[in-house]
Amino acid sequence: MKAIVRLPSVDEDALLGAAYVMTEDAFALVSRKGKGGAVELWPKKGAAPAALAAAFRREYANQVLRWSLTRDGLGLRAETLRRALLLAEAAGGRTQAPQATLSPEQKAEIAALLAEADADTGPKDPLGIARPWEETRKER
Amino acid sequence: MKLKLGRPLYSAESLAAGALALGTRAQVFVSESKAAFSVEIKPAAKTSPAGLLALGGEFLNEALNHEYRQRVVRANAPLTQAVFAPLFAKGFPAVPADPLEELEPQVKADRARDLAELLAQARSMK
Repeated sequence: MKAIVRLPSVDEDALLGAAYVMTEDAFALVSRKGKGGAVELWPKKGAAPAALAAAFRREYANQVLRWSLTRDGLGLRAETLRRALLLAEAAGGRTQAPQATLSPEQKAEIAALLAEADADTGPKDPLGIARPWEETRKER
Repeated sequence: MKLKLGRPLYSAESLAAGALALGTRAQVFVSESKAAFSVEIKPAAKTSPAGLLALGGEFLNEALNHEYRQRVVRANAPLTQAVFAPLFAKGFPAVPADPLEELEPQVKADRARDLAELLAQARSMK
């Protein structure tokens, strides 16, 4: 038993992409006819053909969105990448030092926290566990 | 097992990738028409119908895998070019001008004509 899904109008890249994703669970054969396309799916491990067909339709919708996003922003991404590489080359290939971005209020808050930590003498030690051995011996 | 794979959805290279995946387990025969490739898969040993389906399916999936990967590579060509073009430009600096051609422009014109004739001759030998 095999599943056949026919689509009246297809994005060819999305059709192949969706069929490729299905190859985990099925053997796939894609075909075109005019503007339309079809995929035949033979289940690998007893999956129901109807379930395979439904999964393929879901994945096809996903792939149509992915490919449209890929095509839309491709020129922009290529230009961004080209400029980033030029900047990196101009900087000698080294990463730039992080910029100081703390506001005066944040610096004051950090200084107050550090002062508070310095003033804290730590937990009480009634048994003298934290005291050096020489000190406890002198008391005896 | 006989299969029909439509062109240009599947390329000859993708069929080769599918056949390569089957290795010595089967022989793959391909013929082509304008619209499709006809593929026949003959298992090397006696095989059950389920085994035959698995062989054919593996061939189909590998061909699809190859075809889809090629499309992804082609679709991302502008990104690849952005990375490699500056590297190639650095690796292959422009050839310095020939002093003879600088002095006598006719030499440059003659060389260009000779080169064009040689290229045309080489292309006609295909």
